[in-house]
Amino acid sequence: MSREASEQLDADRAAQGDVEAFERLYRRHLASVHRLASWMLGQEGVEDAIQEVFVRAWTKLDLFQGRSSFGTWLRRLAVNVIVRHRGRLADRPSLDARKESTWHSFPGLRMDLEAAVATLPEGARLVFVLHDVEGFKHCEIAAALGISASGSRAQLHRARTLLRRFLDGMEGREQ
Amino acid sequence: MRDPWPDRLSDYLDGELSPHEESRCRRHLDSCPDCRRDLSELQRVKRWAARHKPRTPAPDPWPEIRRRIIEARRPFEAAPPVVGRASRRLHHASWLGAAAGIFLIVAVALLWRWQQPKVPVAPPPQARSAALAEEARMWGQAAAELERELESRKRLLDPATRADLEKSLTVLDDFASELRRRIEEDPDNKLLREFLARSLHMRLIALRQAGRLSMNTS
Repeated sequence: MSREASEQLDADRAAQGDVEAFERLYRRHLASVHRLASWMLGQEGVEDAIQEVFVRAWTKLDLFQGRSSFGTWLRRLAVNVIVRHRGRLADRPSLDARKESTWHSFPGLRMDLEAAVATLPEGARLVFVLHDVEGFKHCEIAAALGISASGSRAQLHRARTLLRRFLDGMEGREQ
Repeated sequence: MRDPWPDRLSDYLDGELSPHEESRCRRHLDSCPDCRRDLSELQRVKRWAARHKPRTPAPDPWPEIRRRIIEARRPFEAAPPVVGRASRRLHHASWLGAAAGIFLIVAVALLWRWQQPKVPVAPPPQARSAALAEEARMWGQAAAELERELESRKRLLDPATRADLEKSLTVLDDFASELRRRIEEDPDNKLLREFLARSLHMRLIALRQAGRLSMNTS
């Protein structure tokens, strides 16, 4: 049985209350939801967001109609949940303060992609993660973030332009 | 006027430009070494991002998620009989099951009576048999159409309702198959044809009810 067919079957079982089938889906998609949450949120609130995504998925399984793969459905749901979760965290000053300080506080530290992305301005970071890492289209990003598709394209270009400098620095240090 | 292409290189890279813009951008790239270098760096960033592999968090959040989803299920299971949407679904599901059940009890009782030795009676008029056959065909066709339509929306039904629906349809289908088998043995039996028509009608009602529920849920 293909992975997609077996996921479809597990989604059907989970929709009927089978927790073990849901756990199998969770195990398959945990890493990608974790990546999405940690890049969209930094480190703060990631675990809460992951829980929220899977609990919401469990309660909304009846609405999964199999038009797309379960993974695609879950990722879309995850983006919406994480964006809302981010909104709740936005009032806390620690998020932006941490983000601004990362690059300047540790200039000699080897930057991996996550650290480099964490230094991007909020809008550029979210669009970069959703487009280049997660593979969403600009129209989907625009709908999830409440911006225009042209705004999403502009933010992506900004993010890539900033990141290429980090990449130069990182590769320079590695050599 | 400022050259627009440096700001549109990402769009070019992602194939987001119109064919006309794309060919203009390509012409520009042929003549601009700075933009060619920028494009190659943007490409590098894009490839770099695509290579990034997700990893599993530690500690595993499953135990807490499991606790929460089991919690989330409880209020539904323990819902009072006629309050709220979930309860209405349960009520409809019970109605479907009960209606099918009552119909089957009556039908089986009548079938049992029919199987007992009986006084010979005059054969039913051919016209009545033909009308019942037509009625059964009509109900069957309508139910099949409705079922095709409902197939894509079944997921919208509450799992308990869906399970009850499937159970009711299976019982009705088995009963209809049995009736068809007996009609083959006794094609002019009015009672059997009547039951077949009623069981197909019952199936149609169950599907309509489920269709309405799925529309309310969507």
